Amino acid sequence: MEVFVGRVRELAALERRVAAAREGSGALVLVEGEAGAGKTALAHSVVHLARRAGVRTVWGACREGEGAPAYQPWVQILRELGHSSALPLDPAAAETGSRFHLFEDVVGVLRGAAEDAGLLLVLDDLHWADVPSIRLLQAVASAVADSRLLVIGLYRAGDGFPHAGPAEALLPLTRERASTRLSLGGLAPAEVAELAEHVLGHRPARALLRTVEERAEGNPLFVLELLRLVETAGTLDLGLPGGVRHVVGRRLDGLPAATRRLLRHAAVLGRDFTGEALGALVGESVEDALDLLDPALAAEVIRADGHFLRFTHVLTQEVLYAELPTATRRRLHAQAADVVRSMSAQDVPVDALAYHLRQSAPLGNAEEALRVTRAAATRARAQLAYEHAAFQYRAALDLLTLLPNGAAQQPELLLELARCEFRSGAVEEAWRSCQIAADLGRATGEGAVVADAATVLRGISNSPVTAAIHVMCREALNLLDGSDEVREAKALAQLVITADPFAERGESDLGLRALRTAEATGDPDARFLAMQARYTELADGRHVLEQLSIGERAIRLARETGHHEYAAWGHTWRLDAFWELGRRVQLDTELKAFGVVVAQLREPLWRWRLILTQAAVALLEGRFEQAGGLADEALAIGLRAGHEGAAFIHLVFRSHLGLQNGAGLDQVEAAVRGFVETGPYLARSWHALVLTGMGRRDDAEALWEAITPHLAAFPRDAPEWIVSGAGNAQLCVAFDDRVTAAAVYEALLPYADRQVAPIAHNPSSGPVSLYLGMLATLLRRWEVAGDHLHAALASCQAMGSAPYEAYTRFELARLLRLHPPSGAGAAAEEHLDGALRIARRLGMPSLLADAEALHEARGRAGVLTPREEQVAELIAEGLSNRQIAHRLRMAERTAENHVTHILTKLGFDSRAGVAAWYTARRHAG
Amino acid sequence: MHAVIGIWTVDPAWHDEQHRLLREEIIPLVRRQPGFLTGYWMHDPESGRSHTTAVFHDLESAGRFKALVESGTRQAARVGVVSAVLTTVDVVAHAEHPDSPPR
Repeated sequence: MEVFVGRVRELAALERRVAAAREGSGALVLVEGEAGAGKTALAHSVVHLARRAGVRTVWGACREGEGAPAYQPWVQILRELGHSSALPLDPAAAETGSRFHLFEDVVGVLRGAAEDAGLLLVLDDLHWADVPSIRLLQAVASAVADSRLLVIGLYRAGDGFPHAGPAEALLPLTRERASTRLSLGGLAPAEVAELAEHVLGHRPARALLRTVEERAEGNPLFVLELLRLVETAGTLDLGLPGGVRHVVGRRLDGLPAATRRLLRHAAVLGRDFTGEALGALVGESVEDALDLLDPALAAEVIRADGHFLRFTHVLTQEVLYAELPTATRRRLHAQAADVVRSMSAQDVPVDALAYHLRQSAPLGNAEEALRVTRAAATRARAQLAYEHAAFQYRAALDLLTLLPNGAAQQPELLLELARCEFRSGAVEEAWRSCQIAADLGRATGEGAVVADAATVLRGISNSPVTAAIHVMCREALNLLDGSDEVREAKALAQLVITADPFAERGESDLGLRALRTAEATGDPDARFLAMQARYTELADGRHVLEQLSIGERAIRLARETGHHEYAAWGHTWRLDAFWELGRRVQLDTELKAFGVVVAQLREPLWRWRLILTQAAVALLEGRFEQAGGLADEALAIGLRAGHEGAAFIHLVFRSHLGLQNGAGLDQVEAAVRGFVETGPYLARSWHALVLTGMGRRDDAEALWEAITPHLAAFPRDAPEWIVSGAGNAQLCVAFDDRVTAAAVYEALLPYADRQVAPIAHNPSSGPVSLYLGMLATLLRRWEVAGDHLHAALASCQAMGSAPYEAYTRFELARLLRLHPPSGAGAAAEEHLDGALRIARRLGMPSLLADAEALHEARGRAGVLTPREEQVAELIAEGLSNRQIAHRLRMAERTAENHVTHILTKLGFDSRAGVAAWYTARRHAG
Repeated sequence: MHAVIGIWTVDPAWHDEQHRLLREEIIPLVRRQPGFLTGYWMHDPESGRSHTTAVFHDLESAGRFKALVESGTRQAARVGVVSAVLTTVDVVAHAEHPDSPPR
């Protein structure tokens, strides 16, 4: 009989949750409390309430001990719902499947089951859950808010977690939007009295109640156990040891010795066991074993749950297990392994078998324990339960000390462990395992081990680990010395991928060597890694045709192997190339194909990349609001997927947006400042650009002056180079820096027909020719500037980029204003009107202000002759009449005449007025 | 007409084997391809790269040939030849000396 008192507030809260779930507002409620606090009893009461309200309820319990398989509570739940096949048990699925995919399927099943009348799931004893189960709970929790699904998770608070894994994995759950936490504290004195009356059948004496209150500290289980002692012993011995375990142990004293002995054996089998298994373990018939257990059932030490028997409370099992001497325990585990094997002819529960074999390994069966533990790891990996697989590999590593040849297996097990850790997202742990494996490989001169250790972690860039992997690849190549082509190709490829983009390239074409070697081996993983390396080598804007081809090869490899991810990378690389080439039609076609692959992958990181690319297209076209919304959506997905770089790329988007539509520049400036303080020195020009956009010219100029001496240090083959060049061009113009402008112009010139587009999911900055045009204008190379800007205009129109068309038209108007060829007045006006129209329509305040200033300056500008323009420019430089005459090779008197005419025409009474007008006009346009 | 254009990086260490393969296997194979009109295998000693052009009567034949080349990347890599660029293009003009013998 279950006794439930108190917890009125908690019960009412949960009842409200049940009602809300029925209305379509689901939730996750985490109930925490110490052992015996009444979590399960509370959940049972909620289940009862929910059933009465017509809500379906399903219970999944996590089992303590190392013998529990991965996803156990979920398997129970899905089986109950008639969807036991929703979790993949086929190892082949692991090759191409993804865990996100799997979790999404489970979420779909649960939401579907909840659709009609609601569904209440109870996950009991989450502190014993395997980490994959908690990750799945996280996926479910993120999708409950708009469903009829209520999930209640029960776990022991504080140090109740036997391992750190589940405790850490539970943390993010508490941050879910639809998640709340209930903490079960001690019962109030009145509730203790109520419980006592319930158990004893009468109200106990005040002194007894006070002692129970003090001892039990409100813990319902402790209260119950103490009261049951009173029931059996007649009095409460005040000398009782403290601690619930001891009290539980004392209550077992009331059982017959044979029953207690049998219970100890049952404790080896776990909290749940069957009469058959127990009979087989002790060599008794099932009937005899069950007869012996009757007193325990009567005393509610165990209870029957269908075919299974279950210790009412885990503490009872723990007390009994602890009573067994070590040698007996080992022997019993060995026997339990036999029982598990004999009772499951077809589908052997490898986790339970591995557990019993490990516990009995010191008796001499370590070899088998290792074999079965590895099988359990393989199975968990096939279920995409990477954390659980890692746990099994760690257990396997622990067994090696018991084996004569154990050390020889250590590197391989460490590498398997590292692969599972990496796939579970535990990058640091994975790298640690790789390092230990590599140390062992170095000690024995096994290049294969070092090479494998160097290629476990993939796609890790901009991290301290990147450089360490790079060094390890070099070591591996030296050790391999041409003995293993597949590993050599992979290590070479990884060497290229992990190279510092800001460092000088030593050997060239290493990626090509990797590709040649990988292609010759035919190994798909080596081929893909080598393609990635080759792409890394080519991503500098000079090799677009090769980028297109390598992307196509990756897509073909995906077709050959069924790895959608290869295709996704292939499309990404081709998107990069089409951005760079400014090929809009091809870009759209590729983006569509990329979207199809991303839909097949259903991976959050790929969705993140797709949405960012869509945001970049929106930004390019001037759909600012949509671009901002997509970038925000991408950020949320990227962060949820655990991508550290998501916030940075979002900042790049906000910076682009802010510079164009003026939104949020203050926050952008603060964030960019924070980044450049620790980032590469040359990234400071980004900060200067943002400051310029905010109108903080002095701050920006000071920064620019500090950066310019170092600009030549920016490596030309870094993918960010063209982006940096475009930014620097704008700063040269803003600060009238002709010396730097000449250098930036020469460096950008080879890319005159390209777009400023670093990687596909970053925003584009328009055509390179726009920046070349700006620089040429600054350098007074009028004709060339016109050519560049007209090319830029055509490119913007081909790409459908209204904002960059507006910038280009403004630059053209400025050029024509500064250097008006005959008959070009109308053209200048047309370009300026075009820029103004687009800036107004899209909401580009900064460009609008510049264009309006140029428009206003137009009135005065037309009155000067070209010669007077030249003289005005020299006045602005502070030259005297004599100096002007010398510079323009004219008589001093002629210069004086020109100055007088200029003053008259413009209506100024001093040279300073002319200088100020000329300078302001140039900055405005 | 449509052409399959290739740019290849070539490891000179395999020179003899590459030439044997070209003469004895590749050229006869290409000649047998449906829709094949003409082909050129060129080498740029300065960059160390080879350039190939195979012209076909129609797009479908060119596409089929490109797929054939793609399927042979492993064999090519084994003799130090790796594709850098492989693409199908439209032939927009064509000229021959008036005295050239008719094809």
